[in-house]
Amino acid sequence: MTEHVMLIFPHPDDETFSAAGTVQHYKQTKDAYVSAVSLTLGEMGRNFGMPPIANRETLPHIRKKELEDALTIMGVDRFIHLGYRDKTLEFERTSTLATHLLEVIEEHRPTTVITFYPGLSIHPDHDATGEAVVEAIKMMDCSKRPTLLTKAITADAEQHIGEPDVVYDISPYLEMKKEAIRAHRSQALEVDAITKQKLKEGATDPEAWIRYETFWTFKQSEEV
Amino acid sequence: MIEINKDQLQESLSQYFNHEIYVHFEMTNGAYAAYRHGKAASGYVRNAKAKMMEGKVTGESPFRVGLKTSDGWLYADGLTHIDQTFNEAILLYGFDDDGKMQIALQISTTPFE
Ligand SMILES: [Zn+2]
Repeated sequence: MTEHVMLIFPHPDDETFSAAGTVQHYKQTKDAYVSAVSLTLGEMGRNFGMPPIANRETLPHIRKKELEDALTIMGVDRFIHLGYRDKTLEFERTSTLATHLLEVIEEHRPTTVITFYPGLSIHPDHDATGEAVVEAIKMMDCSKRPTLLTKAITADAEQHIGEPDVVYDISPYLEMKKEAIRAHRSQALEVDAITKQKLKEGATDPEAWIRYETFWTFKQSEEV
Repeated sequence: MIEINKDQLQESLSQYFNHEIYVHFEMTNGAYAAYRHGKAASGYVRNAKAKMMEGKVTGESPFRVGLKTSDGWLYADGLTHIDQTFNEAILLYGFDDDGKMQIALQISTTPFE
């Protein structure tokens, strides 16, 4: 069976930061097909670019184009936008989101799904997405469930769930990943902000958060 | 997007006097604020409807805008930039020292998307 990796993230750029190198790894070593699901277009982002290249109303259109460009650079084969609004996911019924995601998963039948770890991903939309993906997969027949790789991003994640069991050093694809990050032009300020944050949390290599893509394989028995 | 010119903005606002307007009003210190530096505080109202009676731009950049509506007031402080490229709407913003948007006041005679 062909390997199919499906990225499920709430905002344009989450997929790039989290898994650009992993996508390349799967493509190069497993000839994988890759799809990317974005729940929102990051409509409510605070970064308009410096100097501003967007406003509150044009931002979704600009971010959609940026996302498409980044996905092309990453070699993603298919883009699926689900049409939710930024910052509202935690207020949707989890079962509504989960049912919608289940439909998408059952239609496209990925063998691996990559998303955020529920509860350890800082932004309420991140946590809500992870939670809904876990719910969706729970609804599937055990034999049909894809492997679920989750990304936790709080500094204390390891204290809660131990070390990540999947770690990719994506150095061979680092330049590609940086190019994909740059494609999110309106969000350029975010890269500096994250780097600053990581250094503050004790990182010695300012690029480590870009170079190492780490995931926790989610076991369905895990309580969240 | 350009820096606000006080006289021009006053002129633009006065064209909305005695008109029904839709308002997008937003203030935020970011969804990551709680994680990066203290506590998050943000909120927005999208497409609130009001009848604008009159209003003023005051201060020197950053500016304040106060709009008297038929039932109350709209107030915003910290506005520095205006985007006039979007339809007929007036889009006003203020940014923090890192260049991130922290306040938005948008008014239009038609609802925002
Ligand atoms: Zn995000």
